[in-house]
Amino acid sequence: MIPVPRALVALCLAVLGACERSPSSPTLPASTGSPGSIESAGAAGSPESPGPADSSTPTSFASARRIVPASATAVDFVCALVGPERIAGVPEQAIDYSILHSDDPRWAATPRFFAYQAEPVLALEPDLVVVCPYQSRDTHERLQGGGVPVFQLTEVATWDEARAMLLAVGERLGESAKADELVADLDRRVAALERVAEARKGVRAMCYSNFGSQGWSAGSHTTIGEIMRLAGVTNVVAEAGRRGHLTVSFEELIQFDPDVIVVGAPLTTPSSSAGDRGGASEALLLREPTLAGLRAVRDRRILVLPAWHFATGSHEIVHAAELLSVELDLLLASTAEAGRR
Amino acid sequence: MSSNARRVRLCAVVFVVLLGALFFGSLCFGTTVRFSTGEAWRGLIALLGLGEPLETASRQTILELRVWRALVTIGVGAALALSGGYIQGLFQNGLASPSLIGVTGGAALGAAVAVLIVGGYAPRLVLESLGGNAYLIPLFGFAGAFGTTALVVYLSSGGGRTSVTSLLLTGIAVNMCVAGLFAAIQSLTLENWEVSRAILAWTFGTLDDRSGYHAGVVFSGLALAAACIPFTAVELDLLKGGEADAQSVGVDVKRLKWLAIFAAAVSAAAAVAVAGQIAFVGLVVPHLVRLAIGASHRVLLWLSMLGGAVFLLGAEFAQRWLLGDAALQPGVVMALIGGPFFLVLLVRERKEISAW
Repeated sequence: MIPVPRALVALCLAVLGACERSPSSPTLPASTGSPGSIESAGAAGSPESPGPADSSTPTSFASARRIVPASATAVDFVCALVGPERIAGVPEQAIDYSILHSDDPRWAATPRFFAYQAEPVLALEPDLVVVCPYQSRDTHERLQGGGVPVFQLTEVATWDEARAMLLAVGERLGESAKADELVADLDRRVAALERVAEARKGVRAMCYSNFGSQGWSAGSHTTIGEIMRLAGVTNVVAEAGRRGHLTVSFEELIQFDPDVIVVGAPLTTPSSSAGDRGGASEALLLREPTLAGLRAVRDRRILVLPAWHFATGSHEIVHAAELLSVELDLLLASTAEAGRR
Repeated sequence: MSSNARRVRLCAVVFVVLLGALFFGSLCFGTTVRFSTGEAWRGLIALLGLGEPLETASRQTILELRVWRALVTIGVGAALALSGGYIQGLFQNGLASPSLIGVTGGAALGAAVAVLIVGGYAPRLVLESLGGNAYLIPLFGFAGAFGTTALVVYLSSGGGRTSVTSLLLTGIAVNMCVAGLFAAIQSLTLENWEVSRAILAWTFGTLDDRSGYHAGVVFSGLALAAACIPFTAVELDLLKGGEADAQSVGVDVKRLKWLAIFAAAVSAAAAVAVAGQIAFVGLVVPHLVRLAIGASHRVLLWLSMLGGAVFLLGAEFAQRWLLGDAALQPGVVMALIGGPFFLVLLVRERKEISAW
């Protein structure tokens, strides 16, 4: 009788041997960039962003025809500049948080993959993968091992950084003209926002999210903070010197006592009739007795941003700021009307 | 009066005095404004309806939030420690904790399901019939904790008796199943970052934003568990000589086990339902109290309650005082304290453990 461990080892060797003989190893397309290292966007021209990782001329990915943007932010930047014909696939999770959420029929046939892992990405036979800094470095390395260049964006928290990133991505993808055109349009929209922002000066706002376990908000160096700045309101959390995404207790919420609270619309079915637009966070704000004295709750000044704009990490912050501005103006007008009565 | 009785009295007095001081200190210090002791006292009196509220409504509301926070912290600490006392008595092992019988894992699973519902992953009819969502997490947390423990007890009982070994092994197996379900929920909600974050945050524990409802839940569980002490304490002492010896002196071992498990489960379930996962209080506190006053459950269980309240409130007060708004979640703090403590216990009791 063969002892069990030996039998197990023999079985494993047999399986591995079978895999070795398997002819299924995919033929990968020739890479367009340099497969040996991760390319950084570098966001040239942005005072907040670091320069390129090395001083050599950045690699051009202009010939890439099977691009995989691997995160919602990457989808925003890449898909704003190139058409579906150059995209090999997009991550399923990114759909709800990217410009693809708008159900543009051009993107309906674009293949989807579930997670940023080497196998599903390689199966799309990409010639370029665009990633964000927080994504798995192990996966980057597996992809590079498979001969696929990886182009890493730098983190964006302000309009200036997003603008510089858009130009940098356009340059790398050989779409500089499109990027310039898009940036010019966004510049006009930002200028338009700034012109009307004066009317909202002095409005104190904060974003808030609470699904029952803990409350969260965002201070400085966040895109939602930048959205509020572009919309002309003061982010009270940033004003208090808080930075990044952070937990906020009811006690702190009462202390901030903003004029307006911005919540994200739920991705799924609204959680209750009281929070039909703003979901769980709005419902909690409206129902919690200790928060009844908050200015924003008392005056029903809770604004809802679509989930993909609430969480955007790209130039879409401009679009989000426009939506917020419209909502704010309606709200301020209705409040003024109520005051006159 | 014997020296042990003196130690017990001294310990009780120290705990009560500390608890009072920490409670009041917790009202004065928080993440935002600082109240003077006079102002905190006036606010407290006003809350009881015996005086004028503080100058501004927001200050009075902040004080009210701190009162509920402190009360819930006291209740959670006491309930977890009492649960640990029961479990250690039942398992006759100072290294046992409430998570062994599936309370913590079950509560996490229940809370995750509640977050899914709150996050919109349920038919509209369910959402509307459940009404407000603020209380859903404690409710589901409690149901998950108690349900899982009931399952562990049911599966480990055969022929009308429950062996401690079987309870332990079944607890481990059920905990693994529950952890698998919890991980599946986390994995399936990865694409919804707000829901994922809410589920993850619950596993760190929280004592912020508590209300009278949360205090009601935890003190109800605590009261039920404490009510079992007179019916179990002496029997748990007799169990130390083994089940056969206990039976020979008239202990109804089956009844004792059921009562002790019920008490441990109800108190821990109430605690984790309102505050999330806060590990190690149930392990550390009964152990320390046993070192201080001896192993008699007649006093150990009561003093564990007091000790647990002091321990958790003290840790929370200390970190808020030292770290301000950078304070960590209670589950994180307790893990940082409890991990090294557990290692020290293991090293100290190496001889005893090697005999298992």
